[in-house]
Amino acid sequence: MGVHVIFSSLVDLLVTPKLIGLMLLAIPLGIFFGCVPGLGGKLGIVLLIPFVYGMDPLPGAVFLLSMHAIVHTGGIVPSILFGVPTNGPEAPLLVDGYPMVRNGQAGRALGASLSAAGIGGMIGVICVALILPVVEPFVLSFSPIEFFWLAIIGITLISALAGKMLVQGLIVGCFGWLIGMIGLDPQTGVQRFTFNQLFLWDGFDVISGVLALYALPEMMQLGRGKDKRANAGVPGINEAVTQYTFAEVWDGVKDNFRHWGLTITTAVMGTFIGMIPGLGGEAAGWMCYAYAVSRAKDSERFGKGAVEGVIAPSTGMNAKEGGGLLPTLFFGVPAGSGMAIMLGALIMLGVKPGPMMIVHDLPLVWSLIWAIAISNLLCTGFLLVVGKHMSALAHIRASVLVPVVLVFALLGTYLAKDHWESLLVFAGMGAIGYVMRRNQWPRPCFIIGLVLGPTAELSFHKAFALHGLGFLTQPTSLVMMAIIAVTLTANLRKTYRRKPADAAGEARHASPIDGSVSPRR
Amino acid sequence: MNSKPVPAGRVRFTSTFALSLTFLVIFVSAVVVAKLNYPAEAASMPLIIGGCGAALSLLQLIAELRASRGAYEEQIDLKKDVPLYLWVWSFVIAVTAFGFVLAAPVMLFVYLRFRSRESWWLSLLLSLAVLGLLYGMFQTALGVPLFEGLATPRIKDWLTPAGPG
Repeated sequence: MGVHVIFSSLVDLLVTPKLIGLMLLAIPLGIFFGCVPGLGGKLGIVLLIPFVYGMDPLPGAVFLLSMHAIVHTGGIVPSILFGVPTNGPEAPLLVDGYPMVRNGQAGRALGASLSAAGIGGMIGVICVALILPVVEPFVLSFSPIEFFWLAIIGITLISALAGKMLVQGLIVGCFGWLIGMIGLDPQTGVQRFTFNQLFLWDGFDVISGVLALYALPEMMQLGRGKDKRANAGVPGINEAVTQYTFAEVWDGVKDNFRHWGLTITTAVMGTFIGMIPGLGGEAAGWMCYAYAVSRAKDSERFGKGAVEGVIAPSTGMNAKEGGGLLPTLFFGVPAGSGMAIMLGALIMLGVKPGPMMIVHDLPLVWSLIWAIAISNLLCTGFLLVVGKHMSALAHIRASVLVPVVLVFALLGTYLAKDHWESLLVFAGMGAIGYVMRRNQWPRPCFIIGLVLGPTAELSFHKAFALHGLGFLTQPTSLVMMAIIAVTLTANLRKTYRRKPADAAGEARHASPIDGSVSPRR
Repeated sequence: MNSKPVPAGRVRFTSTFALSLTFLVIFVSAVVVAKLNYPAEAASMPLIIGGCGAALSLLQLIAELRASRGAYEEQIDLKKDVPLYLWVWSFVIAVTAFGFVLAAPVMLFVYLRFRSRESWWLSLLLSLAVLGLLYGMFQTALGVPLFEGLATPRIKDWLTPAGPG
């Protein structure tokens, strides 16, 4: 891997007006999707699909990834100022961020968190850049056996991470995989589950599935009742919390350097958490927060407005975006549901994720890595200056937002495949998604099944053709099976140690109307 | 949303029960279709995944049945959910018939004015903005081929006078 590839990608990104323009456009959009409760990065990607339709792979991917990389940074502002995590992964910020606001340190909390997010994003990218040369020979040595098991582990981990909803997670994962089988069988060329419908011949695409299972249920939830903001848990605008000076914000920025050890450690932690399939932004945030508490000498300050409690989750949740890129691009195994949707969008744009990317598409990979770094930097700088004004986005009326989002969701569904029948699928599957959302069934498992299922099946057939069923007894397979067995056993124990009635009751009554803030996504 | 007690011993048709049942039907149907229609090689994975999914759905269904006896059931206020869902279907039907450029602004206006009770001005402004975005940006500037609808071309043909001969 030549150094010139690394830096020529950066130069191309900076001197190509179209690319830099798309990145500058992606930043306010990312902030918008982060600030508005109920939207978030996943919906952001799918709602922007119509805008990247027909674009070349590089500009399209740079635009989507730049937007997705900064969604959590955008979410920091309303999360800290109003004490409401707009999209789940920002939840750990509340523990100390909101108490800081109540202690009159809103500017410092925001400065510390936003700059930590920016630094985290940058360190995440640096880690990936350093790891890439090491990973290269490892990636290229993978055979269909490893890919098959990697896909299975991806599916199992995400389903297992559904936690108390393990069975439901597996059901949803199987459903996604089954839907992924629609179309021509890669092995025999036989049409499966197409029922002589032309629009199903080339399969069911991820974008339609995500829009049906996410956009419609979220918007239906948001559109319920008259006081939609109250449903989402967003309090009214309190002008007092936005009355802070830039000196206070700068003081918060300096906190990152006062606690430089914590900032760097949690950023590296976040990057590696991001690489593990199944561990999403929430895990990164909470694990980094727990680390900050454990290393503190006076841990009783946490929960009352400790600035370290704001820095740690911010760095972790942004650093994981860089880490998540590695398995997604080189193994085709998304690190989380957001990356699964990104994977689907990249495939739609003509990018072919897999080990061959390291051979043929390295400039694209570096462009994407740089895009994350630059968008993080620009977004942090922008929000440090005008952050308090962005908080008003959290108060856009749902009654206006819902129909507009649905118009674009339907447009995205149609453009993903160019078949009007996809709209019927959207409306039909949306109903299933809505019931799943109300009962908190883990919807990300569907996307993982849909994305990884076909990879697993294809790799299985290839491995079978090469080694027969004997591939199941090879050392790699045995190790992978052991990992799957341990994960499943641990989760089954965790789930069924409690009384069955409690589990069922909790599943049913665990605040289905939680607005956009879902504990497991 | 209210919660009301379910009489002890009586099985209630809850939304999670319906969901589990739906998945069970889907998985069993997939297994049957795969077994009857596809050659063994193409049917193997649908049979494995459909079989696993069916077994898990059955397990979940049994768990739901046991849990629902005497439990508190969530009452969903359908009055709030059904109108929005019906609007989505109306939108889909309108787009299918008349295409995006015509149907989207009209359906958006209907929702904003009559469901959200927004002002005439805001409803009209947003609808025109969407029209501008769809026609001006997507269709004209970006050249994105938006669906014209099934009825629109026929109406156009009907309105266009037939040429001589």
